[in-house]
Amino acid sequence: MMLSKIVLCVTPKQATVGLWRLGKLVSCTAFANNGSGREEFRQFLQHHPNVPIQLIADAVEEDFRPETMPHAFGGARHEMVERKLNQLYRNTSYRTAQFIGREADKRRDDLFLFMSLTNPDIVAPWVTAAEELQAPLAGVYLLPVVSQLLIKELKLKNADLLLMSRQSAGLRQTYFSGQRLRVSRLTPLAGMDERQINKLYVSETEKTRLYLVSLRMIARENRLHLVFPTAEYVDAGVTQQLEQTQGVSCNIIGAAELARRLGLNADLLKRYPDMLHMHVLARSKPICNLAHARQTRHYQLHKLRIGINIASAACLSGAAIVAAANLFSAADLNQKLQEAAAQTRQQEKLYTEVASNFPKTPLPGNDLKAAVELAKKIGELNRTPQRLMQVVGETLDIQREIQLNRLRWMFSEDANARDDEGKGAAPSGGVAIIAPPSSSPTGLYEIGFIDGEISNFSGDYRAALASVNALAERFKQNKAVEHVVILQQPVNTSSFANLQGSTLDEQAQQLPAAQFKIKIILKPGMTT
Amino acid sequence: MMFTAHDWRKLQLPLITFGVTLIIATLLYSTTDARKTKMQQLLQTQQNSLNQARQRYQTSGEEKENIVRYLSAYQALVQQGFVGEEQRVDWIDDLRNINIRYKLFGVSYDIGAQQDYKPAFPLDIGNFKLHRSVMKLTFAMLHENDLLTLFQALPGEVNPPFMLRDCTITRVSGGGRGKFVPNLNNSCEIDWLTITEPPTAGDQS
Repeated sequence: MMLSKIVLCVTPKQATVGLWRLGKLVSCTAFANNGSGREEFRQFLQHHPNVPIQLIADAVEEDFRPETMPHAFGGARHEMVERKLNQLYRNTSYRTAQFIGREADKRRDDLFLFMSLTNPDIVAPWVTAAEELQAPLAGVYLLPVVSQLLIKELKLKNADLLLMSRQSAGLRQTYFSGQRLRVSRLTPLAGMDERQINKLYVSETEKTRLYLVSLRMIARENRLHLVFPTAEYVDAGVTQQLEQTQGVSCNIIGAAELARRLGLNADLLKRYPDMLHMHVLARSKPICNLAHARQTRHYQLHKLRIGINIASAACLSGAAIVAAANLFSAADLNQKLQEAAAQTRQQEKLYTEVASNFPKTPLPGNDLKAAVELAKKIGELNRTPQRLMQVVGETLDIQREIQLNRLRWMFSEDANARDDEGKGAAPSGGVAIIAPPSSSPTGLYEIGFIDGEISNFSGDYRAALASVNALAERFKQNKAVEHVVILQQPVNTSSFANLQGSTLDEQAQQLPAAQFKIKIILKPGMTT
Repeated sequence: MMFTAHDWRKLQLPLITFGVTLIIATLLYSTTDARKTKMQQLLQTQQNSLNQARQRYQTSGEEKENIVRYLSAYQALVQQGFVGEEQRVDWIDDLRNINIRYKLFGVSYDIGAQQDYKPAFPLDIGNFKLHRSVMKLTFAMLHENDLLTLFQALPGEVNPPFMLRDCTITRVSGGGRGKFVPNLNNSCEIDWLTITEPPTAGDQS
């Protein structure tokens, strides 16, 4: 029922009901505007639940009033319009206003057309019936407002247009200025025969023209363009009379032409005169709803339900599309996987054929190579303290006053390794930081720590210092040595340390030992 | 628009439908996406295997050359104890022989438990697992050349790769000048390195 629509045209005498589905008229019927007619309408609604209903009111008890208001927008405009509606139409809830445009004067006020159904009783029973059945009433519209949609549908673009139509309620004449509704009249035709009605066409047109001139809606010299869409046969004499009416040009659109332009059955149009407007409303986006929000509550709920259902469908459809894409992609990947697996098997088979001629081996050739080269590499890293001993021996042979107490050799990744056991690990005697040597290609350093003392020390610290410094200098001059640092001097002459002793030291029998410590880093060398 | 209890009842079914739809959509998406992701991973793995198989076949000539060239050397390494279990008893025997042959004052040894080893210096261990046992040797010496004699003898007597890492020679206080009295003490630290075969090995014919 989502794409169905019921349009109801209510007049004081009857109500015509049509059901549209996908913009096509499905069924049409008329009910008398009395208790039994409304009961039939109820039954009709029960047969078509949850179908939005649009109601057209066509009655003499209507009012159109153009008004100007100071230019405003948003909430202020809405408030002013509401106030004006309350002021103009206190006794009816079926009222609304249509913004027409701005005035041309300096103030450029807003121009509105206020409209109402001044006798709500005409539509109230029908609205109540819909409300009781919780049918979604979408809106209540005045027939001249729907005429505004009709002239758009018929593409009538005349500046001063008088649309005349024969409705079940009577003869309707609606004036449009610049395609905007300005005023409308309904003349009941009850009790008149065709001859009288034909006369009425002419007389009412003349009256309307004079009325518009009196309201200064058109100038006296302006020509009013009369358009008369009708399914009824119009006598040629009437057409001639209408065209001869002063200041009026006439265009009668016959049943066949209407049926062609609007896609309606001509016979149906003759049978139900209100069908023209009902059909236009069923296919267009309506404007100027007179119904109060509480009357369209079920319609709002209906829209919300449809919205949720659409969201559900969209969600499911989206997920289904994505899921289908995923499955398609997975199938494609599976195909590629099978192909890759087959190719892998083929390559393995080829390799197995080739490998059958290989010598028997516990490991792949690459691993054999890696193991052998690893053993070779570790073998190349084999070092002994021999080079350090040579360097120390050669130097001490020259400086015989030095006695070697301890020699430590390290083969370490850390060039800044410390001799934890020996004394004076921290540099002293003016050497603050051990400069890092140039990087070793193997990542390992041969490091030596030399602990010694001055033999037969007499207490001459100056001579002892000179001797140790000379030793360090000789180490530096050795081609196998990369770096030398004195970690401990025979005496600490730093201003940042305590220095104790006695001037009688030289005469003392027991002198403290003049011990020192030197660190050497050897240049990267070959295996010894 | 304020909703009444009646309105909520009217909206109940669409809302439940929407909720169920959301769950179904989520399940649809997550299951198919998981399948797609799994297939992508499988394909990636398979393509890696294919590349390896191709590479293996293309380098089969080199493979054969490596086997011919390195197999005997590798078997020798297994024999020497570099590959596989440490042969500690052989090592102790060899050390004892060196001590007797070179008339040393006796060598004390302390071999620590074997551990996995990741050297801090660059060393390509391939697919193998490298292990290290830290060994401490302590012995007295008449002369510093005894140290060199011992370590020069080691590669001849004992084949597994060793790395001498630390040696400290200390003068014996009051050491005499006698011919058979030790003058120096020495303490050395040696890394005993061994490797084990990669777990995937053995699929060669």
